[in-house]
Amino acid sequence: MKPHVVARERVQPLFDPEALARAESLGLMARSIVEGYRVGAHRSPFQGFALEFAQHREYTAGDDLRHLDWKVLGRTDRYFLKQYEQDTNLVAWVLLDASESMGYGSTTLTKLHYAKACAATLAHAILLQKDAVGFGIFDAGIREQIARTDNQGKIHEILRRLAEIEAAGQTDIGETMEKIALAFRNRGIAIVFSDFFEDEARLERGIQRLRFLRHEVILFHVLDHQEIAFEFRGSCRFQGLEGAPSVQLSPEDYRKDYLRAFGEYQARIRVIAERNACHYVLADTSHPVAEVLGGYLSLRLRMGRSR
Amino acid sequence: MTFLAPWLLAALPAVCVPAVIHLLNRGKPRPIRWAAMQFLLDSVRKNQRRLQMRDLVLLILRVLVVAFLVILFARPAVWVPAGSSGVVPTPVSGMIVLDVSASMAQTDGRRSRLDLAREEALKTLERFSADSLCGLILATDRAVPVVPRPSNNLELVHDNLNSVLGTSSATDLLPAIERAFQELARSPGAEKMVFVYTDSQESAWRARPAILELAGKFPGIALRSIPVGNAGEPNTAITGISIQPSAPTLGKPAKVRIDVRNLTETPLDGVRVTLAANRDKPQDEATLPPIPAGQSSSANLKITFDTSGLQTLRAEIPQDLFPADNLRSLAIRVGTPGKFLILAEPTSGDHRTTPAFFLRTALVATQKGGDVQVVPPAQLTAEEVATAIAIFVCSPATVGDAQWALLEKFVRGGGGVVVFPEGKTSAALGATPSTRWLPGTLGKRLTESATWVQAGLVHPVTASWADANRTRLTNISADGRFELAPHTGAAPLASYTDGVPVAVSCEVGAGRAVLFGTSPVPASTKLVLHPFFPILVGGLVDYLAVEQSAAQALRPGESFSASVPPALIGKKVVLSSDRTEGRTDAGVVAAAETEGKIQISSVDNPGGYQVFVEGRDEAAAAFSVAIDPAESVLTTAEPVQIEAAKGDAKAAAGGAAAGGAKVTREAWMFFSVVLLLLFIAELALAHRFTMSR
Repeated sequence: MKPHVVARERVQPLFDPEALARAESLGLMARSIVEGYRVGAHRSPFQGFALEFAQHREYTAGDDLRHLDWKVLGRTDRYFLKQYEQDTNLVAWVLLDASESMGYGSTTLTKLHYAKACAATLAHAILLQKDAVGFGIFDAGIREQIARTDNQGKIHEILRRLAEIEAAGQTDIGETMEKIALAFRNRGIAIVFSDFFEDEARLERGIQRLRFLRHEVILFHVLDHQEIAFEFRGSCRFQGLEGAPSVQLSPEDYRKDYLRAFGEYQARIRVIAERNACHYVLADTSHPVAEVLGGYLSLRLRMGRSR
Repeated sequence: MTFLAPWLLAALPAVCVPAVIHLLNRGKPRPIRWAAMQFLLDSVRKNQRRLQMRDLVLLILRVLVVAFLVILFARPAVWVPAGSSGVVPTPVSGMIVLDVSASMAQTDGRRSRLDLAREEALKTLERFSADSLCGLILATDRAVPVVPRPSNNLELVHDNLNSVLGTSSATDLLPAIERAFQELARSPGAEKMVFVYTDSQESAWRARPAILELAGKFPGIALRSIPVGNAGEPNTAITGISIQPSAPTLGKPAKVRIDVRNLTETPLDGVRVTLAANRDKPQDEATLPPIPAGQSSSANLKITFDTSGLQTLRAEIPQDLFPADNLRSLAIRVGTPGKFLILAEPTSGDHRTTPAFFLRTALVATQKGGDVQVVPPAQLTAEEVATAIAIFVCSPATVGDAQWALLEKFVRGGGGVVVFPEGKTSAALGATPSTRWLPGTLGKRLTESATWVQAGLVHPVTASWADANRTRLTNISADGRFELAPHTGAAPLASYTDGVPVAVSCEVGAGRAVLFGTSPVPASTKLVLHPFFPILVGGLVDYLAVEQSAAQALRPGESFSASVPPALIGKKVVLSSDRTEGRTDAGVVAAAETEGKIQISSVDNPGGYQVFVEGRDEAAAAFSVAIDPAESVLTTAEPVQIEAAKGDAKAAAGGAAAGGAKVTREAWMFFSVVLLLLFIAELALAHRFTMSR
C-alpha cells in the first residue's frame, strides 16, 4: 500500500485528501487561511516582500538623479536620495520535497499533503501581494518545476499541479538545492518544505549554496507527530522507506533512545539553519496549517516592524 | 526430595506459557511504513543486545516463577531422620497413643510420667501443620478412643490431651496401637504415623511380636515410641492380700497375709505394714524383715471384725513415688457366728444311721466354724435361714413349697444349699415348680451298684482328687441311688462308672446349689464311710463361700454388679470407699427379672468399696479394685519403633532402628521464599524496564 493511498483513507474536514487532490479545494483552503489573516489586518503579512522605502542618503557626486527626493530638496534645499530595500519584485521559490519519506502519515494526513497545503497557501498569499512565486518539486533530483509567475490567474494551474504530485523516490536535498540555486538565478526567498531526512552535511552545503546566491532561506521542517513523539505500542514491524530495511520490535523499548536521537537530529537541523541565517519552522502535521503558517508569519511581521 | 502431591507435577509444561505468550506477541506485529528509520535503526543497534538480554532474563524469571509455583502446589518434601527429635512430617495423618496406665502415675518428685508424656504429645501436636489430621487413643490394657479417627480438629486433640487423667489399669499397648493402625489405614493422607507416649514398661510391650506383625499388615504406617520417665526408679509394692478363713466370722480373729515386693535394686529393710478394716484405724501392723532386691516378703497380720456383712480390708505400706501400689484392699463377707442347718426329719431309731449324723460329723470335722443344727423341714423359718452359713437338705420329700421358696431365696441371696435325696424322695425332684431352681432332676431309682470314676475330675470341689495315686476314690460304691439329669448350666462333681453323675451343681442367683443322687447314709453310698467324705463336705462349704468372695475382686475399669432382693428395686445406691471420706451416689437398684440389681460401671480407682442401699445400714455388696501387680514393675523395656516403608515394611525394636528411620518434612517454606524472591525480582525488573522506556 502506498503512503499517499493510506493517507486518503481518513482526514479532518479541512485536510480531506480528496479535497486536497483538487486544485479548487486546495485554492479555497489556501484562500480561506490567507483571508483569515487579512481580516482585521491593515497591512498584508507579506508587506515585507514589496518594493519599499528604506532610508534617505545624502547625495554624492555620481549618484543617479532619478532617485533624488525633490520634495526634501524643495523644503530644505538639501540633496537627498531615496533608497529602497528592493528594487525589483520579490520572487518566492517554493521547494517541495516529494520523496517517499514525505508520504508517511500516522493519520490519513501525510507529510506531503501537509507540505502541499502550506505551499499552496503561501503561493496564494504571495500572488495576492502581486509578487512572484515559483515551484520546484524534488526528490533525488528536481522532479518538476513550475515557472515563476506573478499572475494570480495561474494559481489554479499551480494548485492542480501540486495536487498531482505523489511521494516517491529517494531524497537528495543537498544536491537538489545546488541545482535549484543555479536554476533560480533571481535573488529571492527559498521556502523549503521537507522532512530533511538527509545527510546533514549535504543539506548544509545546499543551504550554503542558496545563501551564497543571497536567497533568503526558510526551512519548513515537516514532521509527523509520531515521528516527534513515537507513541506506538505493542509489537510493530517498521518498514523502512527509501530503501531502508525493516525491523520488528516493541516501540516502547526503543522510544526513549529514539526520541533522544530524533531530538538531537532536530537540534542539529535547527543549528544548521541558525548557522546559515535561515528561518527554521517546525511544521508538525498534527497542528493546523493555519497555526503553523500564522505563527511563523506573525513572527516575521514582528521582525519586519522592528527593523 | 519427594513430593506429597506428585500428580500436580503434570502441570510443569505450564512453564512454556511465558515463552508462548512472548512468541504470540512477537508473531503478530503491526506493519508500519516508517520514514524516520535511520533514528530507529540507530536505537535498535544500540539497544538490541541489552533488550534481548533483558527479555531473556525476564523470560527465565517468569519460567522459574511458573515452575516453582507448580512445584509448590505439588508439595515438595525432604527426607529427614525421624529420630527422637520430634520431627513431624507435615501434613501428617497421625494417631497419638497415650499410655494412661497406673504406672504413669509414677513421679520424679515433681511431675508424673503422665505429665511428661502429655507434654511430649502436646509438643508433637504443635508441630503438626494446620492441614494435618490427628486422633487420640488412651492406652491401658485396652484401647480407649477419645478422638477415635484422625481429625482435622487439632484443637480437640489438644484439649483432650490437657484434660486426660491417669487410670489404675494395667498396660498393654497392643489394643491401642492396633486400633490406631486400623484407623490410619482408613484415613487419607500420604504420611501416616502412630506416636506412642509411654513409660515403656515391659508389660506394656509384652505383645511385642504382635505389634511388629502389624508393620507387615500396614506397611505404610510408621510407629514412633517416645518413652518418658526414668528406668528403674525405686518402688515398693503390696502385690497381694488374702484372708483365712475366706469368710471370717464376726468377733473371731482372722489371719491376713500381705505380700510386699521390693522392686528396688537394693535390699529394703524395715517396711512397715498396717492392716485396717474399712476406713477404721489400723488394727495390726508389722515391720518386715529385710527384703532382697527384686524379692517379696509376706506379713501375717490379724484382724477382728466387730460388724458382720460385707466389709473391706485395707493393707498399707509407707508411700513412695508410686503411691498406687502402696495400698491394697480386699472385699470380704464377715459372717455372723452362723450355723449349718441340716433339714432332716427326726428319727426314733439309731441316730447313727441317719443322714444328719454323718453330715454333722463331717461338718464338725471340717472346722469351718459355726454350729450344726438339725431342723425338721416343716419348722424351717426365715429367721433360721437368715443365720445359716449353708443348708443341707436330707429329707427333701418332707420339704413343703414354702420351705423350698425359703431355700431358693436363701440361695439366690448368696447362700448355699446341698440336697441329698432319701428313699421317699420323689423322682420328680428338680422338676416341680418349687424345685426347678435345683441343678438337676432326679430320675428313677437305680438298684445296681456302681463306683466313682476318678479320672477327669474337673469340678472345683473334686478337682484336687483327680490324681488316683494320692487318694483312691474308685472304691466308693453306691447301692441306692437315683438317676440324675443335670439342668442346663449344671456341672457334675463326679460320675459313677455307668455315667450317672454323683452330684451336680450350678449357680442360682448369687448363691450355689448342689444336688446329690444318693442319701448320705452307708446303705446308699459308701461315701459317708470314706475318709474323703469330711473333706468333700469341707470342700463344698468352701466352694460356696470362696466363689462368692472371688466375684468381688475387680480389675480397674471393670464394672461391678450384684443381685439384691427385689424389695430394694428403685432404691438409691451409694458407694463408700476405704480410701476417701464420704459416700458417692451410684444410681439406683435396677429391676432384673425376679431380683434387683446393683450396677456400678467402670470403677477405676483402686480400693475397697462397700455398696449401701437407701434405708439399710448394712452394706448390700462390697468389692475391691486392685491394680495389676505388673504395673508396680517400673523398669523399662526397649520401645518398639516401626519405620514406614512403601511396600516393604521394616520393623525393629530399639533406638537404633529409630535413628535409621526417615520421615518426610514439607519444604514449602523454602520453595515459597524462592518463589517470592523470583516474583519480586521479576516485578522489579519488569518495573525497571517499563520505567526506562
